[in-house]
Amino acid sequence: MKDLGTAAVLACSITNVVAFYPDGAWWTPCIMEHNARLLEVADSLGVPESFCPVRAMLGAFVTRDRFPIPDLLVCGVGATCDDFSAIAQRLSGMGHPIVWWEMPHRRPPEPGEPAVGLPGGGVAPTEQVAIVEAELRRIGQAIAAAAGQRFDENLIAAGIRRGNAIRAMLDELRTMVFTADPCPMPALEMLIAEMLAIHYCSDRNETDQVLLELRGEVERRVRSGMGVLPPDAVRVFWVNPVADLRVMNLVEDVGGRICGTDYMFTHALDAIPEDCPPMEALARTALADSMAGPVSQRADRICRDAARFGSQAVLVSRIPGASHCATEGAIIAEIVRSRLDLPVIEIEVPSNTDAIEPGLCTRLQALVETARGRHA
Amino acid sequence: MARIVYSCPFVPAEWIEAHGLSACRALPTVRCDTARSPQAGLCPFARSFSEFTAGNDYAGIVFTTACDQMRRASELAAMHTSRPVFLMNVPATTQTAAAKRIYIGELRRLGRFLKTVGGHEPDRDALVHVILRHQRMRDQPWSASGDSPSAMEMDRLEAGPTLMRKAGATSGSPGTVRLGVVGGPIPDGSPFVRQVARAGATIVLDASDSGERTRPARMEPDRLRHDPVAELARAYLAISSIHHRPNDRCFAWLRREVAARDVQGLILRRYVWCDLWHAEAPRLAESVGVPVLDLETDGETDAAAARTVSRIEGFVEILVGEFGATRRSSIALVARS
Repeated sequence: MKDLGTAAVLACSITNVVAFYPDGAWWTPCIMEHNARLLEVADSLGVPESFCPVRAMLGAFVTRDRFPIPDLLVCGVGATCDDFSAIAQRLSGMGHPIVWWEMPHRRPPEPGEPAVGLPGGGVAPTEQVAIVEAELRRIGQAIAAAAGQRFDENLIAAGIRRGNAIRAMLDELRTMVFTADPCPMPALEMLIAEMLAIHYCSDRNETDQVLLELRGEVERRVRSGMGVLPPDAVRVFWVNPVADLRVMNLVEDVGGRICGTDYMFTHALDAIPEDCPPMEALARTALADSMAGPVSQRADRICRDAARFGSQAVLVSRIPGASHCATEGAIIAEIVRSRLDLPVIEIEVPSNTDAIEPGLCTRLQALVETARGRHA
Repeated sequence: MARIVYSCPFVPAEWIEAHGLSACRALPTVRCDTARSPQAGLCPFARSFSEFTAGNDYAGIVFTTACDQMRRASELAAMHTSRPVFLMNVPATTQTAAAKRIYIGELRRLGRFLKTVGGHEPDRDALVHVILRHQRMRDQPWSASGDSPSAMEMDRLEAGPTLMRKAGATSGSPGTVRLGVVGGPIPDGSPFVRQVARAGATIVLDASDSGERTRPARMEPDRLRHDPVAELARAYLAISSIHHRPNDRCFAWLRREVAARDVQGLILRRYVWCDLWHAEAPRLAESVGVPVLDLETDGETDAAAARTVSRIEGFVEILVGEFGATRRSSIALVARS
């Protein structure tokens, strides 16, 4: 739980283990059109809508009809949002044992302090990498023990290579889709493709096939100049995932397209280092999590990627109740505006946007028109 | 002497003082500013601490990662103040080698920060001396009147005794309902204690984030002499905190003290948007063995005060009327607005 991408690589590398993130239950209310009643169950447990929609996970553990209760729960804590940490603790209090591991806030190295590069372009003090490496080794040993296996770092290295093949395929797909004109693949489909990188939806082989076919389809469309949106669609960089997936369609309905994303798991998209021992490589990947460090560093990455994909506007999608969303939007907006001179707006997307859809459309339209006006 | 301001109990005042600086634990009044729209999702205490520290003449401001709101507020504060801001990693896990390694590493990093804002390398003997002086202050009985120099010094550094003294007595006045309080930090200027007294109750247990629950463990003299930094870390990592994962130790502390002080009702006083306390309200009600009032606050306004008084009065009436003020009840009750 919570680390979104790193522990899954570790788990999937161990024989007879399937990994998945219960965190993904936050999309269940949207996908099931609220028929699963997970949020209502969370309400009844004293976890109301002042919490992020990930509270649906709590409901899913109670109803037990969304996913099998895992044989082992591991959860990253420390530099994580309070919502998730609090909800995971409630799970623990309800009798679901959790193996916690420490994910320290990624800090800049002090002058002269030994540091190492991270996937995605950041750096972290060697000391922090060593701490996270030890924590991940502890988690790996716990997973192996739960599966009745011996913890073998050679298997982890193989799992990293396999994970990197998926990440490389996804990188090709994103680059093609975000840079081609007209847009060859809609935003919602691309969001789901990115999600595959987190834990392969518990099926690495199927993930390979899905990404392979998506890439083939996009290549075919790009070669023949086919697109799913008009050629003049405004290129929007999207920050944070949306709990109501329909909103990804709305931005396209008003003349936008997605060219660049930070759905809070960019560290699951970047290649895991293969030039260092496997557990150190995973530690570096975990520390590259954009949510574990300063928002200003996250904004740096957003600026770099927005420039790379030629984004014309940046949209920060606020998650209702999420502890990081109260302050991060203002910081990201200030940095993006000052460095790239792009229009930035912040919207809030709850699990169900029916009631606010007209207002959302107006704001999205304003962003698209502003960006189009600047580039006219 | 240059002053270093902080609010988190995991920042050791001893460590700051050993660097030749003055440690100031600030618990500023949380004002609900109706002239501005509140920032959705932002903890009012985190906002108040950021604004207070930016507006005062401190040599350095120390935030910690013990809650995500403060972790993130530190970055916003750093952008809007010229004063040096330090963010200290406080581990959420406590029983692991990683937690100890992180905390000791952060103490040393804090020390380097303190030297950049006017502090000096702490002398080992001076550090032990400062630690023992704090230990002696903590050893003072809580029923002290609060006007001795050491008690006032303790108030300045740890804030907890102030709340108890404002309540009038630590043992509870005869005939009044004996309440405990748990939750977020209670500001120095908060009318909360007066509100409780007005309702006919006395606070006999301050288990808030600014209260006695957040005191470090006793230092062991032998360990202290051998390695003062390691012993300081051990004592502070022993603090029971709601942010710990798992946080069973915090609940165990509460159950023990509620029973030991013969607490009749517990007020969970939490700030709006504080997920760490909010999520635990039902578990508190189930586990502490006395009725619990879940009191959400967003700041000090007349309207908020009237609402708070009304709810505390209602809670006390329930305790007196339904369960009897003179006996403890095992019935859990969560009253929400």
